[in-house]
Amino acid sequence: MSSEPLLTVSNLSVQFRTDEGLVTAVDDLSFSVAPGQTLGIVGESGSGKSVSTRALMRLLPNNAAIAPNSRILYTTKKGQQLDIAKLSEPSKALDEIRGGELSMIFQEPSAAFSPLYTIGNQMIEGIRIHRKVSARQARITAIEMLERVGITEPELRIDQYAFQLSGGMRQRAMIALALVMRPALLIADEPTTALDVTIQAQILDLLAELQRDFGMSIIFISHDLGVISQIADHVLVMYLGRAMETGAIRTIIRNPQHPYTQGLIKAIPRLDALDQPLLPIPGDIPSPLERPQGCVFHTRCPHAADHPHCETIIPNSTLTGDKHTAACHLLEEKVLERSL
Amino acid sequence: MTAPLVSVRNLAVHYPVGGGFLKGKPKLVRAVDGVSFDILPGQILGLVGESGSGKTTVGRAILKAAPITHGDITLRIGDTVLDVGHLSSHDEKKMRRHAQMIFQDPYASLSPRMTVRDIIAEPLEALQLTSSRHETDQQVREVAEKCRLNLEHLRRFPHAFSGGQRQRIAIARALVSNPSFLIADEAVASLDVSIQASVLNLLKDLQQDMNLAFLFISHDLSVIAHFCDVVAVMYLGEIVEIAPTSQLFSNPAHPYTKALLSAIPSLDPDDRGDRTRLTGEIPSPISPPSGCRFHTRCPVAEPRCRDAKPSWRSPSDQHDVACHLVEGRSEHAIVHPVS
Repeated sequence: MSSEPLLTVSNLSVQFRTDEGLVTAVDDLSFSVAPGQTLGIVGESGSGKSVSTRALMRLLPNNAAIAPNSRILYTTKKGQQLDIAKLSEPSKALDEIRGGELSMIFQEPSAAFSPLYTIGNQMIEGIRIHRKVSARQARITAIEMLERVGITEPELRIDQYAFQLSGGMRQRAMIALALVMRPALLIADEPTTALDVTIQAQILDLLAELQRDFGMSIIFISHDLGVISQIADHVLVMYLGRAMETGAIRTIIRNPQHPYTQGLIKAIPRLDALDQPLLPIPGDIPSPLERPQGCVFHTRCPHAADHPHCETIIPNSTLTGDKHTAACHLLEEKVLERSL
Repeated sequence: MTAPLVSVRNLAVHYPVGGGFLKGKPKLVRAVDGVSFDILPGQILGLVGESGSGKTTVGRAILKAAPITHGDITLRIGDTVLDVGHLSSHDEKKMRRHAQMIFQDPYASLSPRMTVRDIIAEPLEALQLTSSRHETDQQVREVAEKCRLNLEHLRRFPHAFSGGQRQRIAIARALVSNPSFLIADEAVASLDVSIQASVLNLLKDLQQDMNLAFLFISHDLSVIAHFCDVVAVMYLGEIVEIAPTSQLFSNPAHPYTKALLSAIPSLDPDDRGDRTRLTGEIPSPISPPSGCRFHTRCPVAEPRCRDAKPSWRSPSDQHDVACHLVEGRSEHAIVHPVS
């Protein structure tokens, strides 16, 4: 990874105004995505993984606000650098970014397709917004894309509605819809979670193949570290809106440094360790309205009791290895000891 | 050999769909088509398969929540054997007390208008198992403690609880009548991993304390592997393989089981690529394929697989497979109980 990152997010914070008060969904999050690479974002419910990526496309609901010091630096296909967090809404630049530069696929294809229009209507609409081509030409492009994602009889399918397809085919159609404008970055938000494991394997293979062919970057969000492990180059582990640990996938799986990542890996039932008991992380994920002070993980962390800072001070992100960072007071101390 | 607690023989559940006036005869969805197995007291049978394989319907049929088209289901309680297909109202009450269910979504399975105490007490009240409110309260408190619920939680409503806590409430409700058999239908599927492990550990502890038998329905083979004694793999309404857990995972015999296992994403980032990938999706249960139902997706199918239904083979003791290509004794007309 010698080239410049395609996307650099720094100090991203997102808050929601709710009836019960202000809820912090994403808190001081920084990460980057390199061209042609896959960043996996893993986290449990309430970790802010979806909200942070919705913010990248400025697709947040009206009661959400991106904090003023947040920066989302993106380099367009033409080489122009913009801060997506600062674009006004609506604006021409934002229209060009959505679909043309950044695109998104979801867990539920029904969230991406309108039931009132055929798959073809929706793909052709997308193509003609971004490119000045005839309807006939756009239709040909759409059919090619459907074929590319492994949909049989694309000439027939293009005039069908999304609900007429099976679950796996619908997911493929959604990928076609997202990729027809050849975005530089695809955001995939739990795209295989609702699928059976055999279909999930097919979709993961397809995404890896399309990434190779199109050279796009992917942000792949999942609660399943196994899925992330199969598709990602780098991984960002999130908990309650904050980055706990980031690094190359092999480093994170084999040598996790943050107590949360370590706990998460131990809690996963593994087929290669059937005789070992499952070790849950104690306690429950706190409600977003009761965010813990200090390190957000301290209420469930096995080390927090013997450490005075965890309850009061937010730990900084510490470099623990090559491109490997973790936000934990224990690691800060270790690194400090080593340097003395 | 111990007598089985639950015995299912040639169970079929067919639902009519469509049809009606001027629309002709309704079509039949063959949700479950000839399923047989036994569960011994205190044994955990895992039922795994893709969506549409009929695993949930099997569970519902055992609790008389799905119509039994043909076949027999019996439930042994002490010395009495209840025939689930033909229950008197007295026997049905008895059955409801001894066989209970935990559902997937604790946000849907708990009434938002009842306190946790009332939710847990409901089976006792509905089945008139206690004689006074005092006795009910006492049993509710006991079971709540067993399920690691805080006693002050009993006065609250479900909306105040997280997913993991709600599922513990649902477990307490299922256990309050002191059953001997539980059906858990995707009971941990909606929980986060760190919480899932604690609910699985709780279920295992309770299972050992109370000598509970389980039908544990899940799409997740890793969860099944950690929780179950015996595993049955279902495909399109039929069981295709059944074996003790260690045997099934170390030595899968059916091509479908092999494909399922190889489709599980490995936690090891270097373990990518070369796997047997199944093409296509599960066919419609309205017109299941002829012969072996898996032949349309099977990577090793032969012409005979399309024509003839495979009989049961036993590649090893207590391990039964319905596949033409598996070598082994073939004397079993129905799946035998695994002890």
